[in-house]
Amino acid sequence: MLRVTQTKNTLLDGATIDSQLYTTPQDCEDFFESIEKPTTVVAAPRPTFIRVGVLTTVRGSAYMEYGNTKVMAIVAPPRELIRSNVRRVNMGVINCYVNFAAFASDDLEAVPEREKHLSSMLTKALQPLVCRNEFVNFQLDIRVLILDDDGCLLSTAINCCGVALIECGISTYDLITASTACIYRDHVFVNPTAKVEELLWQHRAGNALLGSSSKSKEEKEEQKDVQQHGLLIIASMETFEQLAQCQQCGYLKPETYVQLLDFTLEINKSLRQLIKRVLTERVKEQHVLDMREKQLEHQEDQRLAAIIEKLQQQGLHEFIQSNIKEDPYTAK
Amino acid sequence: MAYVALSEAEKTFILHGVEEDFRCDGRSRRDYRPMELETGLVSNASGSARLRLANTDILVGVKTEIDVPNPLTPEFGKLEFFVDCSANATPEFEGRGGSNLAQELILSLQNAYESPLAFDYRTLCLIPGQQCWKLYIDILILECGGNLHDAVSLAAKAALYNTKLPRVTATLLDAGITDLIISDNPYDCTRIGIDALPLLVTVCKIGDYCLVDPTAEEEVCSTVSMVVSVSMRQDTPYLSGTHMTGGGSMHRDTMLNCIQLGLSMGEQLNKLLLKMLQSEETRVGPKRPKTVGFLK
Amino acid sequence: MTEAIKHAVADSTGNNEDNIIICLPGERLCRVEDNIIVGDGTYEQGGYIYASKSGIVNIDESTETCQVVSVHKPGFHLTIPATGDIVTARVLVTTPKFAKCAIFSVRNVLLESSYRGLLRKEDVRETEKDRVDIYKSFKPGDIILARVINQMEQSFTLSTAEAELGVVVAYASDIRKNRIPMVPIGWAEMQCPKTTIKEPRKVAKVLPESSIKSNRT
Repeated sequence: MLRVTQTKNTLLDGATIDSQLYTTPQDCEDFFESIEKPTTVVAAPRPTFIRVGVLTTVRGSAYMEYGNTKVMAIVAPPRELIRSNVRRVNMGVINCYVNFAAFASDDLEAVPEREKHLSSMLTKALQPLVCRNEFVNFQLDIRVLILDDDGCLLSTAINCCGVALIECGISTYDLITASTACIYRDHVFVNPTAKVEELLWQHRAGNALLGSSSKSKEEKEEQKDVQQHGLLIIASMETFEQLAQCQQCGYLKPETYVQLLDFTLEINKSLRQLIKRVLTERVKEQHVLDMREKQLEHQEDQRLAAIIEKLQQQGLHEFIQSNIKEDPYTAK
Repeated sequence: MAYVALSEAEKTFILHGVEEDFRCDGRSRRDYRPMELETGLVSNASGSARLRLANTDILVGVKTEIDVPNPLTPEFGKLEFFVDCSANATPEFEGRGGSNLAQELILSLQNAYESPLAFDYRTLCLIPGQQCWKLYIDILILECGGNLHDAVSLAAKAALYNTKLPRVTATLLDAGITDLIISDNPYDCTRIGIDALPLLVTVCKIGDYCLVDPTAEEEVCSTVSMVVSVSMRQDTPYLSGTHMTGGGSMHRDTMLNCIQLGLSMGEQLNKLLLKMLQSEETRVGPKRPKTVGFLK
Repeated sequence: MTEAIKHAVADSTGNNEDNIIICLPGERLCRVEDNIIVGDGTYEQGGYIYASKSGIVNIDESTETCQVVSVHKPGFHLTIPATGDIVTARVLVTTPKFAKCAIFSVRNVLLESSYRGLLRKEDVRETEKDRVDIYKSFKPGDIILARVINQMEQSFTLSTAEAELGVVVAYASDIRKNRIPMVPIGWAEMQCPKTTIKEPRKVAKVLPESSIKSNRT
């Protein structure tokens, strides 16, 4: 007989675990009971703050707060492709790098995995947006820094990057907006908070499924109705009614999918208005600055023209003489 | 995806073929290429499968290990995917060239298998809160001929069907330490239920039409494709993960059409796969006929 | 006098502000017609012209036959060297076959970050290409004017095969302190005014600004 003797068990060999860090399935259950469950779905975005051009060192930067989620995006001017084997298509290459600030997430272990996942999804969402034919043999690096995570991370990052790209002057086909909706125990949550997302994620790991009922598997089958749960992130571009990315996870019926899709599209519409306003303001602001600069330049030109005119009239020698201050120490 | 150099004329030819619903290899837009499936051919793994979808060749091995379950999900086992894009699949994968593609495949599979409704993690439980099985699903891409997502998910499902977990009995010792006794009879084992396991279906958009099972050439022509993960439960298809890939965008209605097509194809594929797996097992039985040559 | 100008400028900007059309990416600007040309910051799709940048719509009607619709983005303007542009670059490395350069300015726009440029031996001058010696044409550290002839995978190919292109600023190689730029004394030679050392270079015939302007238009 082959024997496997268990030697390590974090629970049994006396290790103490901080009670707050260690959440039990029951805690999740309690939490779900405690949160507000919306009866009617209001497809509106959270309170949003967007500022364009927050950094002076980088040309394309944007900062966005979506509720408590805080994200900063930086777009650098395109540069030459480093890896030549990425060439293959005659289009520019987009690289996204998502980074969590050290204090942005509790679960430090999961951070590298999430960063990778977010980077890959963000790249896919932005590919249809950028006029990549204008950057043949170039790569565009987009960096996202997550300062605070309170759900809707990917959609906020997409919104923020869209604004930063436009600020940087990268040609884009349209404005991009994205939002998140999820369903959990027959409740639809739009713009789910980190807590709800975590709940959902744990459901994915099956916890709530057990918690909701300690029913045996057979009983569950008998119910016939499978409890749906899932999260949907949609990025859309409205001018041509295109979806740039749709990512779904969980377990959904196709009908529920369509239902969630329409909610997110609704939110995207209102977000688009907001982003439009911000960008228009920005253009106006920049335009005024530009005009002022032009005015100064014009003045300078006029001054030079006047000097040249004088010079032509007076002749070179006299002009120079007229401009040289007399040396006070020369004897006259 | 593996890159094939195509001229504009070739692309136009493929595009017209798709429009006429008569593709280069004679298929319609809803047809799959011929598949070959074989299970249980790696002796060191608990379960294995090899799938050949026309030119795409996938080998999957499932290894098992005993692990401690996550405290949040005491009754659940663990699953881990690993994809290796070997350099013989296409020279492009040399060095770190295949890592992006491998990453994408791993993410799609993880996403599809994440829901406990798609994969019943409770079957991997040994002692709730203390011991569980952890399955490592190692996927090796031997040849790359397009439509990797579908092929990989089919092969993974077949390998999981083939996986045999040895029966384990536990005895409680002093001080709450449990002792696991693993049966050494190779035929005394449990299987994994694969009915609800998801399959990925790539719906590829070429021109104005959607099609399934794109060849490598067709993938080059397509602007965007949709990966739909279909899980069958009580004969109704469920979505267990979708995403777009390929750098393009599509209209809402096109996307819903893609999902519909994906669901119906997934349903058929699932049915066929189950039938094939069962017939293979009844025909071959637990003992394999002696053959020479591993890949044949 | 300056007061009057200021007033005039303020007046014109005031007028402009009333007339400017602000657009954002994805906004439809106008229908595609035979006499309308798609300019910078716009793209064509399904018979219409759309904006691809945020900024101010600019319709150039300077020519009678056609109009150019373009979008001008105020503030930072992204510039990438394009084929045919005159660029200013610094020579980094010279080898017998080519000189590697860092492009830091396109036309009159200073770039945020430099791009790699490659000047091959064959593109140094127009005639007698086979007798060009890179070492007798450029030295690391020289500032050159060049034209972009192609965009390669990793760098831009440059050419100085025009009288107006070539070295504009160079220092004699053996002076370490008090570096004084050399003065051109011929199409292939420069001299240091302090030490009177002569060094071979592919010298650019720098023209006054007025004549360049007339060349461009």
